[in-house]
Amino acid sequence: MWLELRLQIDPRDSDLVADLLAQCCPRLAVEIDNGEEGQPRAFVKIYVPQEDLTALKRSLRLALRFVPLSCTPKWHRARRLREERWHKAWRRHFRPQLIGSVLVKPPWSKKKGQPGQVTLQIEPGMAFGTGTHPTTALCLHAVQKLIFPGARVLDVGTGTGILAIAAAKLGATYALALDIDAEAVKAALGNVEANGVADTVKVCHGTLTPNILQEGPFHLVIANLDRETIRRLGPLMTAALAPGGYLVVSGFLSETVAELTPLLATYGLRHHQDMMQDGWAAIVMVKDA
Amino acid sequence: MAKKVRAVVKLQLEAGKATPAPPVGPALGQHGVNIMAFVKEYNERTASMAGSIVPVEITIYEDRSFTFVLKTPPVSDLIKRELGIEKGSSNPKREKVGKLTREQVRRIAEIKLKDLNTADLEAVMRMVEGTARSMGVTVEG
Repeated sequence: MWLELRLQIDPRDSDLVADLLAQCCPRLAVEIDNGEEGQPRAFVKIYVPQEDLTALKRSLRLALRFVPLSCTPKWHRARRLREERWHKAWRRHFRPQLIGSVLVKPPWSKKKGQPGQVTLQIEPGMAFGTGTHPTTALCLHAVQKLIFPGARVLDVGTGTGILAIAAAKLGATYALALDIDAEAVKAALGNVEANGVADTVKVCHGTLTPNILQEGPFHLVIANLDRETIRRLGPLMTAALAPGGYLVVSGFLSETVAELTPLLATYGLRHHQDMMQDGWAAIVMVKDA
Repeated sequence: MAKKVRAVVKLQLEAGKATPAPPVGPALGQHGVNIMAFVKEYNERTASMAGSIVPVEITIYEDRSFTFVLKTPPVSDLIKRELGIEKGSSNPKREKVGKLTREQVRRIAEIKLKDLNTADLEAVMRMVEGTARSMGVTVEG
């Protein structure tokens, strides 16, 4: 059980107090809100497992004695945190989105796709990939452009499963979705089921290994990860591609394109296209036949 | 028209290693921010700074969108780096773990100055000294 301890401080002291207290407990946040009557208020919120509370409070009080503060900090009563509450809080703001001709919507939305649109129902759980992030949107655009009926697809770092599910709904006959995060696998499995593509999409817990190449070759490999993982998995992703197949990588900022493209080219891929949105990028590479 | 700010949240996280666990989850989730989107963005922007604590200041707007800026490492981190020590003292009054010169205090204060919304170097130096003492680090002079 996590507790949230709140300490009200003068906003002018916020950086000082945060620096000081972070030595005793790195799990803290300083929050400054608009307060009442235009008077900003600052709170240090300290997250602590219940059993550590007494010892931590003692060391926090001790640490505060060492610095001159603008006014005496005020302790508020600790409150219990219900885990699911913070996991779910943002969901209220997850609204249906049309990305190309793909409508991505949460299960609780009643919005229906128009004729010619493909609808994906995505329950985010604790996984990445709702279409609200530019990198997911870029990858979804790329999938729509590159997919063809009968294609075999590999999705490395599937998160909610959104890209593999989109590929299946757009004509792929097989999509293998991998993720090293057990929470993501759980979310992806649920979404695959909810979208009726369990016959086409296989979700596996784990990273891309040479063994997985036996499941290939793939006409499309998608990896919305980060630049380090893309760098590391680049040779294997290339090996997984069929001749003429496309690799779509994303999850990095646009300034990374200049560094990643030549690297991917050294694996034997040819540059096909760069895509940018809000400072984020995707690169499409092709493996020549 | 500029978007209305709901709150500003400051966190101290390890570069490239943010997760939805506290403090990120509860501190941002309470405001309706998409936690996983923040985690991905923070980790990508700090990937090249692995091993450091990189504080981040997140501005959350009324529509739940957010922007963030990265800050300089916390004073305690800069002191540890300056002295080559792993951690501060658990009993700062009795057990001392190192000594800073005035020049070292000034150097750390100059790094922090741009983050602290002040031009008063002396005040920032006093803050560095306070943090040092709270870690069991004495200051010369």
